Amino acid sequence: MTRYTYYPGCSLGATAKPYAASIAATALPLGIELREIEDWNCCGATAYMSYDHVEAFSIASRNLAIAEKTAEDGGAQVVAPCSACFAVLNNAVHYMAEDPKLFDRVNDALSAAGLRYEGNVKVRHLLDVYINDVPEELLKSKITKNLEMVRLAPYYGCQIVRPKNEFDHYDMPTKFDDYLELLGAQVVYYPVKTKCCAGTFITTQPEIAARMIGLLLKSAKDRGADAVVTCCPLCQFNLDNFQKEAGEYWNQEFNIPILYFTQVVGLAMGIPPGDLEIDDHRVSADALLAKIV
Amino acid sequence: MADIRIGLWLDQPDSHFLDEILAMPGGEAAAACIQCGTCSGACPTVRFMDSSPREIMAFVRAGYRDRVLNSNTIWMCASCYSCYVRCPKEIKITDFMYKLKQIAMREGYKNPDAKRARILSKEFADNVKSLGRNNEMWLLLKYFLSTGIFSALKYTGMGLSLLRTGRLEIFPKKSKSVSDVRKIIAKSREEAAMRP
Repeated sequence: MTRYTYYPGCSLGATAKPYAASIAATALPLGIELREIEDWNCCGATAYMSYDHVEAFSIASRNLAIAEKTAEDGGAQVVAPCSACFAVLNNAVHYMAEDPKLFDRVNDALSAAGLRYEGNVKVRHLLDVYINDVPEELLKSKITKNLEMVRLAPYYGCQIVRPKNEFDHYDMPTKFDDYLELLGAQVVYYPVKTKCCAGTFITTQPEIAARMIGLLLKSAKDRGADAVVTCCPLCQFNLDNFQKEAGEYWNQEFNIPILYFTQVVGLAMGIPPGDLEIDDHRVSADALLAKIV
Repeated sequence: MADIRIGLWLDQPDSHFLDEILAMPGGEAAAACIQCGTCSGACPTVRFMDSSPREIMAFVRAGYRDRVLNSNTIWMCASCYSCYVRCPKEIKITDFMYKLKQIAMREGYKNPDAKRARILSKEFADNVKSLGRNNEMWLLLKYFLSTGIFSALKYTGMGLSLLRTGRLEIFPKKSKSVSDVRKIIAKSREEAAMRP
């Protein structure tokens, strides 16, 4: 059992509840113990960076300071299931390490709340932990269902592999592909795997979002994928909820389930789809579920 | 946006603009740009921008302050970091766009295309300040009240589906972190006001 400091992020309690449910169902059996940061706050996401970068990094770093303080050996591994949270917290760690002036300014702001960040946190994405920290024999011993009839498109999204990540290549990563194969599924070639899901454009520029989301759905549909698998709440939300608009833009019909990777892990482990809250998604995954034996 | 290109020669270049950018943390990289266009090639939203990221870099260096800060380009950046990781001169272009957004917000530059992005940023920051965490339901509600409630209608189906599956948090839980967050923001703003 490996213990991690867990930063769930704001979406996991609301739009991404199925992600939270499938993490709860799969983490412990795979030896991953997630301890939530006490009283964490919003990471600031990308929207806050338009205000002021010191202020944005300061509120993000409050979480890092608390994680560091509560870690037993002084150095904490903070795990985030959301790619935006991961990128913001990871950027904060790296930028402060590179820029002593920023480090001091952030700590000056944190001192108002009686906190200090020393620089001993490593930020990781939950997908990274599932792929790299779970021994293959343990994972294989938990797999009880056969996914070989299921064709999946691994969608990394942009932020998990972007700046300063140590997880995989920034443009053509392959680890998620390999992982889905290890779970027993077929993986389709998915060249748009790191293209942007449109992020907050879904609210501010819906027409542009429809175009971008449609490109991702079309690539999966054309290659006969039964589902697109994501590791980010915003990617899942955009791809799942905007299929009608994307279809109208591209003049075709999309009906592709969008799953969290933890839901696929859960299915392979034989956990009932209801416990993984797969039926809470907008697009039904029934056709895919029927292919699992 | 044709007038922008035709009117280029009417702009008054501001020699201090580049100095201002170079003085920002990370801003010194602007001097390293070789105008190769890799950023524009990598950008998923470039077709919707009135100037490409490469052009923005050129305009910054030529001192076309108003053109850069009035452009929709800085607001059409979706923060995907494609340009950032591909730039052969390792310019942190995404951060560069954030910096330009910050100046544009502070100085009241109002590109009409960017109105909704500006409102979302503001509502997001307010949300964090009042709750400590971001509440998606209230963020969107306040956003739609500010941008026109009718634009919310096309999201009705999505909203109902989220509501039915319990994925909208209607009564936001105020995180205990909120008093800390407010103190940190206040202190940070105090410091920002004293920056040269």
